[in-house]
Amino acid sequence: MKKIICIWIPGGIDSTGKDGMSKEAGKDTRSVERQVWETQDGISRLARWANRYSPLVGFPESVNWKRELAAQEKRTAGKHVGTQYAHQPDPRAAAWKTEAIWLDVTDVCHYFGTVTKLAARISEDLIRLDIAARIAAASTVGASWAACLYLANPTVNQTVVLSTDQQDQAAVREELGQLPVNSLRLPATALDALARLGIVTLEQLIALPQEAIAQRLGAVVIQRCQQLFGQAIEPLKMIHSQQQYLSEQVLLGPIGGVQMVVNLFRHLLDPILERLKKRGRGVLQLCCKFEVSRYGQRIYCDTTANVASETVVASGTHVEQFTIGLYRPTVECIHLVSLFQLAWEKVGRIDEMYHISIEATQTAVMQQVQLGLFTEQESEQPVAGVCELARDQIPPRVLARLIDRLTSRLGKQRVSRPQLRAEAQPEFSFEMQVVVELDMQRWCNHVLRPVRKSLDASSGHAPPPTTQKTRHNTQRSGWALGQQLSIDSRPLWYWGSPLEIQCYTKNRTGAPVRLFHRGSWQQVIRSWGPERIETGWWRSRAVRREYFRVEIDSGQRFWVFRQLPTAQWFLQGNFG
Amino acid sequence: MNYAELHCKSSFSFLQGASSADQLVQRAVRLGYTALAITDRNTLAGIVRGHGAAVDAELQYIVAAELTFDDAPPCVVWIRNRSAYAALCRLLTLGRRQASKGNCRLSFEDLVSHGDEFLLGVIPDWNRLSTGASSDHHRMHAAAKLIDAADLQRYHDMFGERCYLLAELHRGSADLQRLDLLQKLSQQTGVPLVASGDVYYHDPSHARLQDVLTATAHGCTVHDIGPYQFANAQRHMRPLEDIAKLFQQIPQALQRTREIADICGFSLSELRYEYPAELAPTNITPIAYLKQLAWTGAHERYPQGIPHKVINLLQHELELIGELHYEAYFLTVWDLVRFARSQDILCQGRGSAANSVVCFCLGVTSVDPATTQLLFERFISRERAEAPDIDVDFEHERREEVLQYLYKKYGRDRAGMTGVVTTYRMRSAVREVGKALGFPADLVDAVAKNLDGRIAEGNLCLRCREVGLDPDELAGERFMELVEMLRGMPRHLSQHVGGMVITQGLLSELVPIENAAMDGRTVIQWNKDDLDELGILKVDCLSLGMLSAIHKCFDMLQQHKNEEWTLATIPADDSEVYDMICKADTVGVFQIESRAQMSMLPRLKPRCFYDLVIEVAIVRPGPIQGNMVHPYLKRRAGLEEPSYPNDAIREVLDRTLGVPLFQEQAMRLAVVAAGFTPGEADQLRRAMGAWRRPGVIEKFHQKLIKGMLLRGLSMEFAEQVFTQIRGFGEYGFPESHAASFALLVYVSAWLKCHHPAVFAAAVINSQPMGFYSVSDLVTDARRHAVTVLPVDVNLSDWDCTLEVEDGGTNNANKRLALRLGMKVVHGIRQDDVMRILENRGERLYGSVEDLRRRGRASRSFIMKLADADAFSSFQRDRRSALWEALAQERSSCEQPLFDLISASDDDVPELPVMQPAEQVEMDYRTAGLSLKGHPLMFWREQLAAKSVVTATQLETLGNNRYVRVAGIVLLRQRPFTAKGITFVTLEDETGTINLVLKQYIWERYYSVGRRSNAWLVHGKLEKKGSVIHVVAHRLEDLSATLGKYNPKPRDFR
Repeated sequence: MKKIICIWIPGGIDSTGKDGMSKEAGKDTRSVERQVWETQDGISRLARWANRYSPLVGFPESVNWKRELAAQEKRTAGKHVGTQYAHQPDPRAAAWKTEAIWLDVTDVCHYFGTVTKLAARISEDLIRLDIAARIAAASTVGASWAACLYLANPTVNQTVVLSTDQQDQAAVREELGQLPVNSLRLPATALDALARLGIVTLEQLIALPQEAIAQRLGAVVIQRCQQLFGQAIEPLKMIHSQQQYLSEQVLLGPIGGVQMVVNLFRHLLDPILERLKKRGRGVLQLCCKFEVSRYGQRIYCDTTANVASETVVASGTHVEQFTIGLYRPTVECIHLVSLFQLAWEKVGRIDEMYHISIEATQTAVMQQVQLGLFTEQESEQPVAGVCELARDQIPPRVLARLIDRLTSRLGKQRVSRPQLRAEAQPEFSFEMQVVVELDMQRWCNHVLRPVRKSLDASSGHAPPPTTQKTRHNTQRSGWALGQQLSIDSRPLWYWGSPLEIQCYTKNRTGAPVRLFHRGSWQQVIRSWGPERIETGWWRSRAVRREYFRVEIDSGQRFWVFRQLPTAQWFLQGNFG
Repeated sequence: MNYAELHCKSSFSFLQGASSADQLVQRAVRLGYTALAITDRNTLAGIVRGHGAAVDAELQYIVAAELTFDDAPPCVVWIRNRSAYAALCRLLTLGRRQASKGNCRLSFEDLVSHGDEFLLGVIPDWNRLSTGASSDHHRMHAAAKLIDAADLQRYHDMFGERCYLLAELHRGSADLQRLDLLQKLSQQTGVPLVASGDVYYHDPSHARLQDVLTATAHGCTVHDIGPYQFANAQRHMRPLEDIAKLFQQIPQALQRTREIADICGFSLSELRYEYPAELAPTNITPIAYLKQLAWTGAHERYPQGIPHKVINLLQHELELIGELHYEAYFLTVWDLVRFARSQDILCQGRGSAANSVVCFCLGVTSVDPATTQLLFERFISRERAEAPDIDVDFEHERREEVLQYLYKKYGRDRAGMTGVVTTYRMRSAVREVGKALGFPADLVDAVAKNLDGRIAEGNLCLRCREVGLDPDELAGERFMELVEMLRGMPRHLSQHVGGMVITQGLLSELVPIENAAMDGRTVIQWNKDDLDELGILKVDCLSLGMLSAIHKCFDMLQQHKNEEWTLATIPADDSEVYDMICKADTVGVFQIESRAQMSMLPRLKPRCFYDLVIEVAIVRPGPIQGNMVHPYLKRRAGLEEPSYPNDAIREVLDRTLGVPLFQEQAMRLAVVAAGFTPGEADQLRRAMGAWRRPGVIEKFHQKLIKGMLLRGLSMEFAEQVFTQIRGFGEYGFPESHAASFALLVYVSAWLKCHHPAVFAAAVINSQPMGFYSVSDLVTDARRHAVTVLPVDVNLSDWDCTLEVEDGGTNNANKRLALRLGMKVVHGIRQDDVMRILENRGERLYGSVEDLRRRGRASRSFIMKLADADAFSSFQRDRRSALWEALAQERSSCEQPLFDLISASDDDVPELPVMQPAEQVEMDYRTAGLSLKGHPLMFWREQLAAKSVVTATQLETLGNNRYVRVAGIVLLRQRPFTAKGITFVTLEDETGTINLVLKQYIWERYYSVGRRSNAWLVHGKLEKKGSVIHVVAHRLEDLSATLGKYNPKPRDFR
């Protein structure tokens, strides 16, 4: 007979709170850990962990982690000021459809003694990981699930083992017969019909004629019954580890020198790139780990165990790790090597290296470009109407390389771009976006989209430099378009937050006549305004300002404002 | 400085303007503007409000509108004369009729073809792509541009000197540049510049509200309205010095505002309204024809001879009608009633029209003027330049026939439904503001659901706090402030329940007409108050459920007992009927079935028709607020002697024992005690009514007090009369109206008393109507010994029917049982039922299989019938019927080829037997009622262990005793006159229990009170005669104990 262990990580069996903890879920300190298990990544990790006990780890077809997670994200998105008032989301409520994973331990349980011992060991392991779970073992998938949910004590990591011996099956059948029909994992419509017919327990259900049941409630009811009692096979969808693009080498002897490291990197990278090319994918993120020594001191570590290596890194010892993030997916070895070199320069003194591993932790599908006749020239010499050019005439590939290099050199947080926002308050009228975190597709569409200027170029007509339309378009996202905002009405440079300054004003108009700048009073020779901005009441107290553009005697122009009603003056920005 | 604001939106520019016409006018007056044009976008819905407010404030009001076009820049049209007004109405009607509800679609060509008399100002900002959009924020922001010379030239070419260019500055970034451009455009095209404000709200404090409205219009939060938001709060009415400063470069643009205002001398008071006159034959004038009809009717009404009083009244009324030219109006109403009667539709006039002898003689009303004291001035008066308002009730299921008759007879360009402005209520305001502020949907929902229907501000704070929204935090503070501002603001235009306006000429030249949401209906842009203000007549074709029920009763009595009855032939003064009424046994009876009415009946003990008239009128906010109820009851019970300051007052109040209970009496008091003319008295009543304006009431108050003091009455009495009149202002009945209703009260009570089965069947068949659910009506019928039979697929129709019980031999003593119709089963459709009824014919269905094959019933339909236990006639209980139903093909009714194949060959297996409690539970789930028992009876032992008594036990317990009762909540009522008291009716297996919940108890147990439908109540028993109440002290939620019962109580105000 088969031996199946079912493990249920409480994400909520259903919203009725059978596990007795749902009311306190929001306050449960372990909810964060649980949420980790509820992600797609979580199930993979759970499966990897479960592989310690069995190579055959599966989950039912009905599990739909991604959809549940997406729905949860959608529900919590865009909360703005109201977020503080939001009810704390109950992670279990969001993942109530979460079922369980199964371990087929038929052929392996003898390594651990008995099924009972194995189940107990799994339970202990989970307790050690501080994960509340229900565990049950039975001879079928359905029986283990039913026992897990309806026989296990929900408050402790108690294990339930139904006998898998052939001679005990009658007793098991009797025990299962007392369970509610809900334990069959039936669709809601079938459960509703059964309730209306007064069929509550499995015993009552199996007493009914099978064909009639199938005709009325669907074949799934009979199928589930048969699967529960081992009369039909229930296949499991096995969880396989994800495709890894990993390459590593343990060095026989210590090596040193940059060039050798670079060569080694190239040597390890080539097979990864080859595999990626075959799949039409490119590297987006490359993680490099090295076991090194500094000042003659070496610390050995287990590079295969993430937790261990992280610990070592965290304590500042000699496992070096860096990640190369890319702006566009690539399979260009030269480019990656150059980025590696940039990153390596920041590592500092290395005396010896003992182990190196490279893994492409993020990959993406490469953009499919039709090969040109003269492929050598394709990248640098655009063909009219075919090649892509960014707005400022930089080929996208070159631009991407530049961004990659800058990101590698400066860090990804430091390579960003301003994005205009339609906001009246200048401080909020733009935001900085980290370039490598942009939505790739959108960014490509907006910035790297094909511009057919080359056609004009080829016909000998240069495109008009700034048409009325383009000028209008540049103004589109501003809030003051009804006012026909002129191009020079906003400064080129903004202060992150306005600087308080001193000003003398004219009594009649309120315009500044002198302002204190760079340690001395400057005469204002011209001013424009006031422009009134009153907004932002939903963020905090409303902003009320009177803006003036001023020109001082040195020719410099500033954008200053008077705060209302306090009449304090601030410098908002400089015109050039 | 002389400045007239020529471009200003009110809240009738829905989701754009953030101030009411009153606020705009008052601010304009305060700031010293000399005229104001309220220019709502593509609508004239708000002009009457503006006109009324401006007349009160003595400000020049310019009738105007902002128009948008698909192919041209928008403009503001200012009206200078009547013909221009008619053209604007026609143009807006055209635009509205060719667009979907709430939208307007016009082209420049339309403007040109209608605009011969228009004076217009072109709005410089526009966006070609957004003109058809419902919000003009697109125009202002998304891709707005300044008008170009070519567009402006088009206007100039077509309208020449009547065309201006609006110069609007809002302290933007490029005001000077913008002004330069406008000046250049003006010079280039020869279109003069005129200054205007493009006002969206009267005061800067409303800018936030405008942001919220913008967010609502665009379906986003205020955080995301950047592209549509105004950058500053400068769209308000600015002080004159600010305006002068803004336009100092072009002072002539300011002067032109006044020039335009001078040209626009048109006022809405110039509108003359004519009623259709074609109803009179060609050789006779309408007034002569009306007289002829009235006198003929009088002879029919009084076959024994017309009383002198009636003759005098009739002459007086006809004279006044002729003088005020209302004859065509009366003929129209007469025609309407004639049509209804010809179609066998029950109808009856009510309201102030019942004060008219003419209406009685024309058959519009049924109140005999010989028996009541009529005050014709309550209906029509010389002093009041307001139109009479005749309300006619029709059977609610057949009212549409009458409306379509009117459309057909007068055409859509002469008849239209009156509009209704739907305003934001507390709950909708909470939802909109919450959404706009970006609060989580579940939080907004929780706040909205936690609200009581009517709520004071303090309570809103409390309710917010209860669900986790802190009103002391900034966001909560903003939320509260904005909700208060939004409350009461117009949201959209909808249609009146039955008001029809009909004109002699084109209605579309009087007011724009637009499409209603309902097919076949067109609606005008004004509501009933607007029509009153302008003296435009309307006929209210209202629907009344009780008329349908009475008609059905008459039909059933004819069918089953061969008795023929009409409203007029029901025997009067039947003591059995009054006995029943005195016992408050009035569930389902018209008007006197509410908790308040039922508790009044044993105290008032009506014994004649006039007592019923008083009963109808006394339980109203007017008498209650005027503190008239208790004095009347005391005097009626002989505990207090009526006193009258003088004989004139005695004459007015004698019939009601010195207490004014009717509007007419209150008005007559003003006449006899304070020297008012009848017309003035009515003006006083109206001034205190719904459309009150500051200052007006005070004027009347002083006059009333002065008049009474002059006539030697005491100050105390004078103030008391004033309070009473104020109470009647809005919430009192005229005697004639109460008399009209009392007739229906008596008829329905007579039917219930003598034919309870017929009455119950008719009322259930006429649902939705009245206070009680089907379950309550069935329970009540069973208390009256009516046998109620369950729904059965072979014996029931869609409606409830009557079956003859054994025992009766002739029509007179034939006992009728009530068979529930299939309509009581939740979730089944009438067409499904009609199909099985059609196929049932004479041959009853023999099995579920037969029903599926012959009745073409779908599986889901059969399952619903099975759940409702409707297969008793072929010995199938719920579960076995369901077992068979489940075996049917899902869409068998569409597969005739498989008809001959039996779907269920096997026998029904032994399914678990349903327990009585389960049966009752299932009854409630499927039909909301059970004939098998009451949910509480299964819990009685447990309840008794907790010392809970039943409804019948309450009768035997002593007064003021502490008791515990339990039951299912039937209805909750919170009349606003009850000072926060909530009246609740509970039901247990023995009867009903009346609860009184004081305000603090309601607040304390709010969540149980609002959300739970089954309560255990601790309270004190209060007995006054036969009236038994339990004054609640504590509530406990029983719904968890009762399990899956989910009866829905009815909530009333």
